[in-house]
Amino acid sequence: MTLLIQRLIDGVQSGVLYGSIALALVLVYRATGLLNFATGEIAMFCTFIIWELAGGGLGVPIVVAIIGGMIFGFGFGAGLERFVIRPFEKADHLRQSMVTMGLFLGINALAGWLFTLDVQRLESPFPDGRWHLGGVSISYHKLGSIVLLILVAAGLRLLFAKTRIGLAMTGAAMNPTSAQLLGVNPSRMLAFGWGLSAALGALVGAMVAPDLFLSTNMMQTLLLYGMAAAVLGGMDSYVGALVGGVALGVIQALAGGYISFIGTQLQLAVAFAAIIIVLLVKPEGLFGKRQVERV
Amino acid sequence: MIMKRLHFLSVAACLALVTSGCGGGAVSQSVAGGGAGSEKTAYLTKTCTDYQPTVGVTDDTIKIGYSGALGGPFATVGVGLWGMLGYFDMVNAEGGIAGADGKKRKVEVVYKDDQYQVATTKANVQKLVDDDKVFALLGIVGSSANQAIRPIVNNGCVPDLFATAGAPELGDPGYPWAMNGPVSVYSGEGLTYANYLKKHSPNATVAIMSQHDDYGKAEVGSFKDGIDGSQVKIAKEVTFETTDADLSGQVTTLAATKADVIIVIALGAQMLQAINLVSGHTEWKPQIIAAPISVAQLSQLNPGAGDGLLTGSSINVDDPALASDPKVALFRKWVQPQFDKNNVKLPVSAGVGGWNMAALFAQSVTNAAAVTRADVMDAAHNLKPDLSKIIFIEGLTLETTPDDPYLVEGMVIGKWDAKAKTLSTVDTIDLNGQVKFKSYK
Amino acid sequence: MNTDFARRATVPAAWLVLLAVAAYLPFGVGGPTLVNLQQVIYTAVGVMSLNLLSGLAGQISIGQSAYIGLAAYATALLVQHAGWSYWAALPVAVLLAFVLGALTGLPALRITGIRLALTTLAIAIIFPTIPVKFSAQTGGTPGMNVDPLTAPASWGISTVAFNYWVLLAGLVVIWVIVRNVLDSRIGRSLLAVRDHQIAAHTVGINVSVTKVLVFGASAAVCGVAGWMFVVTNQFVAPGDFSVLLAIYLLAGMAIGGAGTLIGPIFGGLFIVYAPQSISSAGLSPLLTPLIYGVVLILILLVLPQGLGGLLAKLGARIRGPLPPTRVRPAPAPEVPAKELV
Repeated sequence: MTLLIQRLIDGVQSGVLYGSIALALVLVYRATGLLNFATGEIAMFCTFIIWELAGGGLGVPIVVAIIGGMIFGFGFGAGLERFVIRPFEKADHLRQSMVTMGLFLGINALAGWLFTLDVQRLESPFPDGRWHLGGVSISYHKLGSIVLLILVAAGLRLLFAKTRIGLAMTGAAMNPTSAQLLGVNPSRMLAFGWGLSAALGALVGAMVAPDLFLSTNMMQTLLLYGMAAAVLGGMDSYVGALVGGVALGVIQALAGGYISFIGTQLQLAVAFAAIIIVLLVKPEGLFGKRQVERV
Repeated sequence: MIMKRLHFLSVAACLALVTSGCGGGAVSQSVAGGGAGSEKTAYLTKTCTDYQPTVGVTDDTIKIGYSGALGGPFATVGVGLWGMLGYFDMVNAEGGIAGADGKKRKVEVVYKDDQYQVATTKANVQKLVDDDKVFALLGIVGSSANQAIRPIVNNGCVPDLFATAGAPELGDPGYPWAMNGPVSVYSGEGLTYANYLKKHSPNATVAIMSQHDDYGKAEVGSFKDGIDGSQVKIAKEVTFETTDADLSGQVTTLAATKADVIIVIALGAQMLQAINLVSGHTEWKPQIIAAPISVAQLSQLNPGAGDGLLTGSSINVDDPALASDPKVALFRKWVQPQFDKNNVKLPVSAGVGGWNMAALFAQSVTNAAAVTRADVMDAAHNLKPDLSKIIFIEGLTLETTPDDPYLVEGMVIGKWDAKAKTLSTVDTIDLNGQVKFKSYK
Repeated sequence: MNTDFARRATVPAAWLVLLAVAAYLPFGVGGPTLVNLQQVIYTAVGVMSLNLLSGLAGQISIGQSAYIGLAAYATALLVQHAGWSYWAALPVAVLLAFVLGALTGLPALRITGIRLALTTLAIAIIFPTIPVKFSAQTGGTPGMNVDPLTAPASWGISTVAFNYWVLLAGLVVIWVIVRNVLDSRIGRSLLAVRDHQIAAHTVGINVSVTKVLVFGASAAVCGVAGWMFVVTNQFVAPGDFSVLLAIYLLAGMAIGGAGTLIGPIFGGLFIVYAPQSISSAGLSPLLTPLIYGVVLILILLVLPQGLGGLLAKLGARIRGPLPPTRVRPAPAPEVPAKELV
C-alpha cells in the first residue's frame, strides 16, 4: 500500500514537471495559435540567467535570482516576438513553427557558448528535507513546486478570464481586426503573451533544475512530455495542461511499476496510447473547448 | 531568346556540377588487391579488399581523421578532440612523431562534425578515407558509429584507433581494424563491480539501475557473469531511457527491495539525478556503486548526497593542488588554449581522454616496424603505454595484445567524501587479460 | 517554332536536362559525394511524404521518422536475417509503413490540426525504444550493419554508383506518382475533403476512409525513404530515427516550399549540406547550430514560398499563364492555415 502511494506521489511529481512546461506552451498557443518548439530552450536560457545571478559568482539570494530571471525572461520573450516572430505575422503556421525550430537550435547553441556545456546544480528556493506522512515522503522542494505551479495555473486562468489585459490578449488572438477596432493593439498583446510565456518558463526552469540538474539539454525531453500533456489537457486550458501532465505522470508511474512486460521500458508507449484513446473519445482533450467547423 | 538563355544556364550548371567532383568518377568497380602486409601483420591484412599501406603519410607529415559531435545537444561527447589537438600541437612543436625510419612527421588532423548522427558519421568517415585520404581514424565517437563504419575500415584496412567508446564489440577479433580507446571497456566495468563485491561483501543483495541501451546491457551482463556462482545476489534490476525526465519511479521500485547495494549505470545529469534520489528520495540507504564519474560532476550533487559512494577514480586535472605536477602542467599548457580558442566551456579535464588517445597513437607510430597502416595497427595491438606520456591513474596494468585488444581492464575504486569533495582510493581491481570478448545484446 | 509551344516546353525541358545531369554525375564525382546525394534523395522523399499529407489532408505530421524507421528496420531485418533481396523487401517495407500510417492516422477521424500533429509526435517518440526492446534481433542501440545492394556482377559498376542510380530512379518514380495524384481526380476529391469536409461528405465522398488512406499513403512514401536509407547507409540504428528527423523533414518542407513539387529536393539539399558547409566555415563548431538556425529563419523570411516557390514563380514567368485545362492544387498551407500547426 505504501508502495502504491509512493508511486502515485512519484507520478504526480513527474507529472507536475510535464504540466508546467505544458503551461508555457499553452500560453503561447492561446496568444498566437502557434506551437512554439523553442519554449523549453527559452526556459533553459532563463534558468541559466538565474544560475548566473545566484551561483555564478554574483551570489544573489535564490528567490531574488528567480525573480530576476523571470524579469529577464519577460523581456527576452517579448523581444523575440518583436524582432524574430513579428516579421512572420502574415506567414502560415508551418513557417512560424519552423521559425521557432530555428530559435530552438540557436538558443541551445548560444547557451552552450555563453554559459557552459557542463551539468550544473541549481539551488532550490524551498528548504531542504522531506515531509513525511505514514510510510511515504515528499521533498519540500517538490511539494513547494507543485503548490506554486497550481497557483500559477489558477492565476493565469483568472488573468485571462477576469482582467482587462487578459481579455484583450484573448481577443487579439481570436479576432485581431475586431480587437483593433476596440482599441486593443494586437501586436503588443502578442509580445505580451510571449513575454509572459518566457517568464513562466524561467519559473518552471527554476523548479525543474534542482531535480534534473541544469544543462543546455535540460528541457528537451520535458518539452516532448509537455506537448503531450498540453494536448491531453486540451491545448488551450491552463488547468487542463497541469491535469494532463499529472495524468501522464501517474499513468507512466503505475504502468511502469505494475505491468511487468512494460517494465520501465515501454511506459512511454502506454502513456501515449492513453492520450490517443482520450482524444478519440473526447477530441477536444480533457479541458479543451470543442472545435466547431463551419460548412 | 528565353530558350537560349535557359539552355546556356543548364549547360553551365552541368559543367559546374561535373567539374566540382573531386576528379574521376565513382562508377568503375574498385579493383581488389594492392600491396600486401608482412607475415607478421597477416592477421590484419586478411580482411582487406583494397590495402593501401601508406596513404596519408609523407616524409614529414601524417594525416589522421576524426568525426564526432562538436556542436549541438551532444557537443560534450566530442570534446575529446580538443585534448587530442592539444597533444598534437605539442608534438608538432617538437618536430613531429618519430618513426622507425628515423623521420619525424608532423600530425595533421582533419575533423568533421557529425552531431552524433550515425548516418552522418559514416558519410564523414567515407569522405575522410576517400577524399581527404587520411592514414588512420582516431577517437571516433560512439559505439554505434564505430560499428557502422566497420565495412569501411575493415575492407579498406584503415586503422580505427582508440575510439571514444567503451563497447566490448570493438574488441571483436573478426574486426581487427578497430580498437577501444583509453577508456575502460564496459564489460570490464561490470566484472570489476562483481569482483569488488565478492571480495568485500560476499553476501550482498544488489539492486541495479541501468541505462536501457548497449552500455547498460554490457555492464549488467558482465556483472551477472562475474557474480555467477557466488553468494552475491541480484534483488532487482530496473532500466530507464535516456529520454526519461524523472527517475524517482525507478528508485521507488528498487527501494522496496531493501537491497544492501545499488549499482547505478548512467551518464551525466541522469547519473547525478539518480544519486541524489537514492540518497534522499526514500529511507533506503544502500551502498552506492556508480559507473565512473568525474570529481567535477560529483561536486554538483546535493549537499551530503552520495557520501561514501564508490566509483572509478581518475587523475583530477582540475584540482589546483595538482597544477604543479609536470604532466598535468604540460596538459594544461597545451589543451587550455584549444578549449579557449573554440570557446569550450567545460572543465579542462574533459580533454584528458583525447590527450591520451593522441599519446597512444604517437607511441603506436613510433613503435611500428614501418609507418604503414598494418604495422601501426599491429603496434597498437602490442602496446604498453608510456606512462610518462598519458594521464592515467596508477595501479592498473595497461597493455594490449593481438588476443586481448582491451587496453583498460579493471578500475581503481575511489570512495566519495561529500564534504571534502574528494575521491580516495579504497581498492584496485586489476583485470588485465581477464576480459574476454563477448557481445551483450 | 511556335512560341506558345516553346514556352510550355521550357519547363519540362529544364527538368529533363536536370535529370540528365543528375544521372551523369557518377561519372564525374567521387563516392562520398554520391553518398551525400543519396542522403539528399531519401530526405527529399521524406519531405515529399509530408507534402502529400499537407497537400491532400491539410495536415502536418511529426511522426514521419517512425514510418521511415519502421521501413528501414523491416528492410534491414529481411535482408540481413531472412536473406531476402532488397527488391523483395521493398514492397513489404512499404506495406508495413502504410499499415502503421493508416493506424496512426485513425485519430484523424476525430481530431485535426495541432492536436493531431502532436499525436503523431507520440509515435515518433516511442519508435526508437522499440528496436532496443528487441535487441537480440535488431542489435539494440548500436544498430546493425546490412550487406549492400550490389549491381549484377556482369555490369561491372561500383556499388555506390549503382545505389545512387537506383535511388535517383526511385525519386523520379515517387515524384511522378505524387505529382499525378495531386493532379488527378482522386486528388481533387481529396482536396475537397481537406477544405470542406462536410460538403465533401454530402456529395458522396467517404471522408473517414479517405483521411485514413491519405495518412497511409504518406507513410508508404516514407516507407520508400526508409528502404532508401538502408540502401544508402547499409545499417540501421535507432538514434537516426528520432523525432529530430521528423522535425528536420518539416524544416525541409518549409525551406523547399510546401506544396511545390521541386521543393522537397531543395529541402533535402538544405538538410544534408547546410550543416556541412557551415561547419567547414572555420568557426567554433559550437556555433554551427546557431548559424544553422539563423540561416533557417532568414530563408523562411526572404522566401515566403520556399526555394521551390521562387523557382515556380520564375518558371511561371518564362512559361506564361497556365492553360486553363490544367488544374493545379493550391499551394497547400495557404488554404487551411488554421488547421496547420
